[in-house]
Amino acid sequence: MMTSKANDNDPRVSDAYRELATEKSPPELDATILKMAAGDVRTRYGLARGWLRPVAWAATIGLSLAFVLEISQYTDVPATPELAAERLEAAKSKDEDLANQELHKRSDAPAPAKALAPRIEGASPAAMESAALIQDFETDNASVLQEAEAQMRMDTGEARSAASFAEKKEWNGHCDAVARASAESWYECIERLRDERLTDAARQELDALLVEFPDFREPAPDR
Amino acid sequence: MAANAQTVSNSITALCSEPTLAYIPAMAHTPDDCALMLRYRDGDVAAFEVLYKRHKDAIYRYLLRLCGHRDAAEDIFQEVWGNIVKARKSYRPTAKFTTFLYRVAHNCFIDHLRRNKRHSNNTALDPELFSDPGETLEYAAERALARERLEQALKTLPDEQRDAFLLHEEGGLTVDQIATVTGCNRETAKSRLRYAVNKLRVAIDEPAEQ
Repeated sequence: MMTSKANDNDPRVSDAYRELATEKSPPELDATILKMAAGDVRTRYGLARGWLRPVAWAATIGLSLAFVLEISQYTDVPATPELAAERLEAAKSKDEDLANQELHKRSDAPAPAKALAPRIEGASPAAMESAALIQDFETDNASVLQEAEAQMRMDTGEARSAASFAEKKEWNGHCDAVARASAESWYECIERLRDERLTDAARQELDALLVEFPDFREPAPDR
Repeated sequence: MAANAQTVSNSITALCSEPTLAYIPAMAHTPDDCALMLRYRDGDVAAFEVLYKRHKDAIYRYLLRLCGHRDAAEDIFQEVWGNIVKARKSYRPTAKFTTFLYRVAHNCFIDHLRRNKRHSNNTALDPELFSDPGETLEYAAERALARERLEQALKTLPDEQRDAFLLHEEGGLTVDQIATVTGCNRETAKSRLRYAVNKLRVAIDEPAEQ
């Protein structure tokens, strides 16, 4: 009696079958299947590329726009050293103006007393000296103070005076050379200063007028 | 816990070991089927190529003998490997790869039978399947007779017995694995294989006795 194993594995049957079964899969079919297998794997990465590509484009465009905007901010940079120097000078003067304005604000409260100091008769020598120093300071910084006063007026709503001041900026707060050509025109200029309540400047101009034209007599004010 | 992990590891190692196919030369130092499939699952196309070249001819012959028609066999062959490719993402080495592969092939063949009702038991293999231009006339005549006898014998086998025999010969599957692939119990699979081998042996011996 044959065993089950012998029945399941007859070498003659196996050999006969092996001799018979020598076929191989067609090469074109192999190529098709290998291509399909590789394509399926690539598809997985292709899906990744499917969203990576738009994201990459968006990122590129975004970075380009950011770069262009950044560059456009530097278009105000002066092309020549002369321009740069001019702008630097302007910025410097602006800073000085601001500093003087601040200084004037700090000395705003005692200023009327200082202005009146030289007019006070019988003042002590120390007070007179202080008044002289203040006078010198105010002379040096007259234009600056005028601008500061105008600014303060603008701040307090005196737009009209500020507009006139803007006109006077043409002659820098003083009477110009044409106005100083004669005592009358100079005095007219001083009157204008007084009208504009630039009393300090008017007084300085009047002093200068009297020095220049000693014979000039100031007309009596209208009552 | 560690013992369980070791047991699982041993089971997977045993499952992933190479099938003992007598006609396939021993491939020492080559990755086993499970490892190749796992590598392919992770995107290694070269691993699939190795796996495919290792099994393609056996699967092709299995389907060719089952169908008896080259065109149908090629269609099913392509379908089988297409399913393997699709299944790679969900592949788990819970069984031997050959069992998995021949189960897919068997199911594809069953689907083919359902789709093509015209298939019958008296399938005839194409004569050109067996042509070999390099052999002499006498030897070719002998081989042709042997092929004819075996062909007739295979043709007379019921589908289940032929299936069991081809799984055993081409896939190198054991009785248990044949039972797993064909969806029957072990005794049924063993019986089918035994009947098939006996019938073929008788068919081979018959002409010699005459």
